[in-house]
Amino acid sequence: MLARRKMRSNELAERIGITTANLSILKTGKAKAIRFSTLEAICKVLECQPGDIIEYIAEK
Amino acid sequence: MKKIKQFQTILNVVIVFSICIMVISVLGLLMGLMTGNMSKMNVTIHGQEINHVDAVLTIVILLMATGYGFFIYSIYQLKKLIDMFIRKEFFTDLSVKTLRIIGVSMLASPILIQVPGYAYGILNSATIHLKISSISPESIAFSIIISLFFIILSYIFNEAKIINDENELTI
Repeated sequence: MLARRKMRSNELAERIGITTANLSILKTGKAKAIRFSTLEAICKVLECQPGDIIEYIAEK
Repeated sequence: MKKIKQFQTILNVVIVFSICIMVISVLGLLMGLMTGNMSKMNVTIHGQEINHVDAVLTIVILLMATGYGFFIYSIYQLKKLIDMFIRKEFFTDLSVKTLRIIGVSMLASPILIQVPGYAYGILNSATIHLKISSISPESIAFSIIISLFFIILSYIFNEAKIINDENELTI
C-alpha cells in the first residue's frame, strides 16, 4: 500500500504520529495489538480500508 | 523505593553473616571429621550429642551443609531480585527465573537440613519425637509453604511479563 501511494515509511510514520521503530514493528508483524486510533490514522493517510493493510493468518 | 533499599542492606548483612557462620562451621566440621573426634566441638543433631564420627554421620553432615548452602544461595538470589527491582526491571525473564530458583532453593534447604538429621536421630535413639506445633515458623512445613509461595509468584510474574510484552507491542 505504501508503494502504491508512493510514500516512504518515515513519511507515513510522521503523518500518523508514531515512531519509525513502531511502524517497523507493525510492518514486520511483530506487534501484538494495534489501537483503533492508529489503524484509523493509517487508513486515513493511505486512503484505504483496514482489510487492505491487515490480514488474518491462522496459528499453526 | 527507599524501603526496598533498606531491605537490600538488611539482606547484605544477612548474606555476610550467613557466609561467615558457614565458613566457620565447615572448617570446624572438617577438622572434626578428619580427626574423628567431635567431643570437643559440642555438635548436636536433633538434641543428640555427637562424639564419634562414622560414614553415616559424614553423609548426614554433608547433606546438612548442602542444605545450608542452598539457604544462603536463596538469600543471594533474593538480593539479586531486589537489585533488579531497584533498576525497575520487574517483569523480565530473569526475574521470573530468579523467583523460581529462590523457591526451589528454599524447598531444598529445609529438606536437606531437617530430614537427614531427623533420620539420624531416629536411627540412633530409636525413638520418634513429634511436636504438636508442626506449622511453627521454624518447622519444615512453614519453609515449604514459603518456598511454594515463591514458585507460585514466579508463575504470576510470568503472566505479568506476557501482559507487559503485549502492552509494549501495542502500537
